[in-house]
Amino acid sequence: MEKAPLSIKFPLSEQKGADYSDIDRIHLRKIAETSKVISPQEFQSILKNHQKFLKLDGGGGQWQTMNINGIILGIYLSKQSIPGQAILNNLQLDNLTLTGKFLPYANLVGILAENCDWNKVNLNHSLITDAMCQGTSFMGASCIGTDFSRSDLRRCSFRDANLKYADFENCNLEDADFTGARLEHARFPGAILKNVTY
Amino acid sequence: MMISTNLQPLCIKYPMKNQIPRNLIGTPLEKEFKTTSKRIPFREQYANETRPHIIRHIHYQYGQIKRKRAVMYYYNQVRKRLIYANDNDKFLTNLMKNFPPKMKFPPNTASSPIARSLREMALKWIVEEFFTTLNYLTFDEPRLEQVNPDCLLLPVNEANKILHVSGKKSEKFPNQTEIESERALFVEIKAYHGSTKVGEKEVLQTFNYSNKGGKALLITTGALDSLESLEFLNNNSLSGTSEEKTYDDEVFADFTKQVKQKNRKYAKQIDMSISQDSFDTRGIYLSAHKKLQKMYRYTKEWPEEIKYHVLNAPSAIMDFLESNEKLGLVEPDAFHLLLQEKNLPHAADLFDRIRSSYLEEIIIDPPRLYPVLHEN
Repeated sequence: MEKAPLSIKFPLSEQKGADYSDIDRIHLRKIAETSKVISPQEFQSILKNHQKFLKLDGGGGQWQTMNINGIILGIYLSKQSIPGQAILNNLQLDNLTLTGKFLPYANLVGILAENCDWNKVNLNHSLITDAMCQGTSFMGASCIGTDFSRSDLRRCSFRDANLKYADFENCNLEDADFTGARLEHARFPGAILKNVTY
Repeated sequence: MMISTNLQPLCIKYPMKNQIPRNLIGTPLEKEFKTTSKRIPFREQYANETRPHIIRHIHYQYGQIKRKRAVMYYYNQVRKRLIYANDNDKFLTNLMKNFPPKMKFPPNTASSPIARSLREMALKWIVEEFFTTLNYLTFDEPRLEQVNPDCLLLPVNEANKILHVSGKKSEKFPNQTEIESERALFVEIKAYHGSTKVGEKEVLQTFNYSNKGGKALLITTGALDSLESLEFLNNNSLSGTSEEKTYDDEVFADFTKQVKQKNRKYAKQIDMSISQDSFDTRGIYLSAHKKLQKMYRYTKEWPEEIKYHVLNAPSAIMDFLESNEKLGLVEPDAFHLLLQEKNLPHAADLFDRIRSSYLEEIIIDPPRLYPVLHEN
C-alpha cells in the first residue's frame, strides 16, 4: 500500500512554527543536568499524590507557558487550587521508569529523559515542552492533547501511541517512529520530520 | 511560606550594538565636525514647574560631518558624544514616548526621569543576569499586600510550586498566583549614584518584604551606610498583643529623630554644584524620616529584633542564599566582585558605570547604561 504524504500524515507540518530563537536551550539542559535527582521512592510518593490530585478533580485545567529570560515556565490554570499535582519540570528523570504510569496533567517542562523506557505511559494533557528525550520509547503511550512543543524527540518511538490532539510544534523528530500511531488533530508546524517512519 | 502575587517576567530588551547610534568621538570623523550653532545649554521642565530650568554641566551643539547633520554633546565643556542627528535609538525613543517630557530634547538624549529609570533598569538587568546563572527566574514588580518589591526571584525547580492561578489563558501573564516557596527571594533595588548613602529607610523597606514571606535582599549601587539607629530599635522591646506587636510611639519617634539628625548632617555635606544627583541625594536624605513614619503606620507586626546581614564578600552573598537568614544587605563592592567571579563581565562593567555615572552623563549618553550584549 502506498504511504500517505508527510503533510497529510503529520497535520500542519508544511507550516512554519512560532519563533523560538530566544529560548536558551543550553541553559535548559544545564538546569536539568544539575538538578536534584529524584529517587524511585520520592517518585512513588509524587505519583501517589498525583493520583489524589486527579481524584479530587484536579484535572481539566489548562496550561500556560512563559518565557523568562530564555527559560520556559509552565503554569497550570485551574478553577481551584488542589495540591499534589506532579510537577517535575527541569529535572533529570533518566533514572526513573515510567512504563505504564498514570501521569495526565503533569508538568514535565524542560525534563532530561534520554533513552528511557516510557512505554504505555499515560501523559494525556500533560505539558512536556522543551524536553530533551532523545531515543526515549513512548510505545503504546497515551498522549492525548499532550504538548511536546520544541522538544528534542530524535529517535523516539511512538509506535502504536495515541497522539490525538498532541502538539509537536517545532519538535525535532528526526528518525522517530510513528508506525501505527494515532495522529488525528495532532499538530506538527515547524517540526523536523527527517527520516521519520510511519 | 505562601506568597500571593501577580507574575510578570522581567523583560528588558536592550538594543543590539548596531542599533545604537555610533559615538563618533575619537574617530577620524570627529575632526570633520563643523559647527553650525552655538553651544546650547540643556533645558528641562518638570510637571510642577511653570518654566524650564537649565541642567548644568551639559551642552549640545549642532553641526555637520560631510554635509550630514550631526550633534555634539559636552559634559563640563568636554566633548563626550558626537552622533549623526538622524540616527535613531528606538529603545530610547520608546522610553521617552512612554513618559514624554514637557520640552523637546535634542536627538538621542534622555530626560532626567528617564535617565533615573535607565539606572534602575540596568541594575534589574544585572540582577536577572546574575540570578539566571543560579537558576532563578526573575519576575518584575510583584504586587504584594501594601508593598511592591522590585523583583521576585524563584528557583526554577521551585517555580513549580505555583499552586493556583486566577486569570484567563488568553491573558499574557496571570494576574494572581499563589506560590509556596521557602527559597523565594524579594529583591529591592536602589540604583543610586555611588556616592549616595543607603540607610535605615531602604533597609526597613526591604525588611517589610521579608516580613511578607521569603527572603529579601537589598542590592544597591549607592553606598551602604552604618545602621546604628536600627540597633536602637532592636534594644527596645515591643508592646501590644501577641498578634500585633509594635514599638511604642515614643520609641519609634526617637528612632526617626536620630535618622533625621544623621541625614540632615549628610545633606549639609553635599556639594550641590556637582550634579543633579546632589539634589536627588539631598531629597532622599531629607525625606527619609517621613517615609519611616509612614512605614511605622502600616507595619502592624514587628519582630523582636530586626535581623539583617551585611553581605560584604562574594561568599557571604552565596551563603546567604542557602541560609535561613531573611534579610541581606549587599555591599556593592562584594556584588561587583561576585559578578566578576561568575564570569559576567558585561554585568560587572555596567554595575561600575551605574555607580560612577552622574545623571547629566546619562542624559547626554543614555547607551552608557546599556549592556553590550552583542558584538558586531
